[in-house]
Amino acid sequence: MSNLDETPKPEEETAVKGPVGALTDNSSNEPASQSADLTIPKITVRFRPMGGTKRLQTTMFKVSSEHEFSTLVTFLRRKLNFAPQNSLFCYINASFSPALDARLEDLSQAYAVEGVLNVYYCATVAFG
Amino acid sequence: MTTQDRVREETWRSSIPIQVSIRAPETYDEYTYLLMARRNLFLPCYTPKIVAYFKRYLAIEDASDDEWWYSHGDMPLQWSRPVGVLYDTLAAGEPVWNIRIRHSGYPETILPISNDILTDFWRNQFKEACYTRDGNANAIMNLARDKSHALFVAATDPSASHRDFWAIADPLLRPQPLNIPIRIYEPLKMAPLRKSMRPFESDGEERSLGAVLNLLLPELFPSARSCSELVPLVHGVPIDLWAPIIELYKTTMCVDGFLHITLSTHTA
Repeated sequence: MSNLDETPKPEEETAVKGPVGALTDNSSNEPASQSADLTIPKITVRFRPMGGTKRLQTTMFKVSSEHEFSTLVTFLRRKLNFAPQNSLFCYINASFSPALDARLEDLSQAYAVEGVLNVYYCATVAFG
Repeated sequence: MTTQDRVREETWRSSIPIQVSIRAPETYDEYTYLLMARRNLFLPCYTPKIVAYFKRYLAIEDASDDEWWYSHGDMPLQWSRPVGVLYDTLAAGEPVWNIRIRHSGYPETILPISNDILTDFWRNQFKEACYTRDGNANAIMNLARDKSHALFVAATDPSASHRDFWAIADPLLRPQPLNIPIRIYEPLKMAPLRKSMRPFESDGEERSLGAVLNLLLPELFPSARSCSELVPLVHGVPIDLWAPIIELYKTTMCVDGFLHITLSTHTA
């Protein structure tokens, strides 16, 4: 699993309002993969809390479309400081949890609303 | 019996002979179990039966059915794919598919498994498929609790019949869905294409399988009619490119609510 981090400077994104962070690979040791990164399209994700779960300071992120859904879950768990034994449930468009190995590109193409993939999260089961 | 019902029954009953091997932890003796596994099902649905059999011969500590996994050679099998898709992508043509069941060293490359996860996974896949078709998951969310449970049992119990499943699943399918949820498996690619596709052309004509493949994979399918070197298989059966995608979906939808298409280099 690649090491994900929010860059200090929010990326500019004309299509979305508010601050946009970036989930980017920390691959400075590998120039090749860094240059490849520029050509990989990114998708925009918005994290939305439910059921009293903590809100993130930045809710919009850009992430490489080649990542899998599990990347978002791992990232979110870390941002929320969730211990491994704490459950975190993530839903696309407040409806369903995709398979953890679903590619973000496919999810974004199928389920993004106005270019943003909405991921709702909750510490308890919200949509059984 | 209508043609649709007959195809659904055939699809449901279509099975693969599998020889599952296990190695005794201390003696390294091999034990095997033969079963006919339904194409339209997930491997963990068979785990309790297989493990119960091996327990007669092996001191398998802990009665839990969690954490068992399967491999084809050294390759861990992704249990979230239907049995038929795994066979068609990895072992097509083999008269008996030899796989191994293991209980230690659960690989990181496959989704975690437990009985709860199978329930959750199936339910969420089915909801995703529903969302793709209707633009919301209301059809499945509004299902009464007992019906919803019966649908899960019909979808995951190896002894369930196609009637058990379709009696509940069929009313959930609108005559004109917005999109068809599709998974396409290309040769030598690990991850499937997960796509949704409108079942009708702009002029209202039913969209064909060939048109869908042409739109999604233009390099492999340069036109909607011409054959490429790849044959689209659904449940192991080669499908003509002119087949309307909506009919194909309604008759051969997998128990997870998706249409799984394997592109094969073999001509059947």
